Amino acid sequence: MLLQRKSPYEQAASYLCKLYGQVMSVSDYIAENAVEIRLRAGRPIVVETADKRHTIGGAAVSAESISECVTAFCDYSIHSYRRELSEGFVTLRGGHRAGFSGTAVYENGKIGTIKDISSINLRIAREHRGIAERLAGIVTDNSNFGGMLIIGEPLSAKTTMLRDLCRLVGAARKVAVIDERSEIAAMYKGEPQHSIGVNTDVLDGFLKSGGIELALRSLSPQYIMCDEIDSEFARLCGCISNGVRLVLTAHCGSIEELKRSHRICEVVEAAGINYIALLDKGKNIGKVKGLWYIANDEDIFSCDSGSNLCGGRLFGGGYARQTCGRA
Amino acid sequence: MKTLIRYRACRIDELITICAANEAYDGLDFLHVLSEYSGSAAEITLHWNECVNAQGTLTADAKNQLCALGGQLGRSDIEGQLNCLSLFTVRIEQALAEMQAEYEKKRKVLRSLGIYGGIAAAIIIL
Repeated sequence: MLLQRKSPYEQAASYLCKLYGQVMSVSDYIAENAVEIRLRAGRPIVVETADKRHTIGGAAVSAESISECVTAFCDYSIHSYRRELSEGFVTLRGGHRAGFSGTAVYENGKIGTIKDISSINLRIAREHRGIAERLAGIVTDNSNFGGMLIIGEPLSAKTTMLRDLCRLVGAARKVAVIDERSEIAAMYKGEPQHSIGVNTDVLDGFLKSGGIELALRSLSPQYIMCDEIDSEFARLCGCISNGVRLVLTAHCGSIEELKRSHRICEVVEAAGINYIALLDKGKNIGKVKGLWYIANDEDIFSCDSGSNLCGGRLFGGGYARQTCGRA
Repeated sequence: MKTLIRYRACRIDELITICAANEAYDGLDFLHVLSEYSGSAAEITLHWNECVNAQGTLTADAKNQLCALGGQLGRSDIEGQLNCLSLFTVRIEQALAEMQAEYEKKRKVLRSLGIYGGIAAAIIIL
């Protein structure tokens, strides 16, 4: 059952109980382009589009409304969402993600839950078919392809890009997607809510370690895709057999920032990644700002400026000069 | 229900669906009505009181207890839910004990009435 009847904005807003009417009072432009709905206790609702913040008129959001929304996000079953609440976010039907801030309650030195939730960031998941066509060409039609890392700042549509890449690559190749936060496929009762390709297997809710292990053992994928890698990921790369290619995403605003980040460089090295795509944001959200090819494990070439050496070493402490135009 | 919450962390709609399919709860028709809303925990929460109050075979006190339980289900973490269920179990056991005591009392009164009625009938016949 695909959630096609309601727009993504309406789907997300339907979790906001009494605030639904207020959130739905925005113009069609805002509803179609909204990326986040922000609720903060005692303050007005803010809807964020890629290029602007829009403050919604009407009463300020009350603490009770926030509490009611949190209960709704948890399907009126707080006890079923303990792990998610302790991690500070809940993934909703349709792949939308509600993040919280409030007062931390520690248990045995770890955050057990968050109480007195004072603000909610509801991120709206959208499908943008076709945005990954260029990257899909590299992933599937390139004999030198070893793996790809998609980087970008927050709100640069990394997950949306990965989702479309799943759909395009999964149309012809076997893909296993480790959907730890249920954002890529947005599985509901075993069916994906987004189009992710006919040959794509979804490991929904799996931690990356367990998901990769299971995929390699039983799904024989040609590609494994994961969103938002962490520092632990490099350790997992060792168990990935030859012939399986990784496509990953990571928070990182530029190639220079990537070079400074040891944890990401470690992953790039361990996973045999040889393509790095940097995503744009703001008005150019969903576009590839720069694309690099890593040769000889460390030299970086810009794919947009021919085969010339861009100038720099990824792991050697040098620098990469980006000379690429927009994709 | 405690097992479903403790070991499976079932959502409200899953709990209702499983309980409605369990023969042990056959007398609780409202569970069957609520299970029609399976897949929507919001609808279940919204219609809980309405369905409980529509069941004719329950006493007013039992309805009150079930409505109060509906207001607490899903509103806290697993520990909270288990404590809440324990509390309602105690309350329901108390109510049951009171009903049994009342039944015993009424049974004695009826038996006495039966004896006196029998004696009266015998006297009239004689």
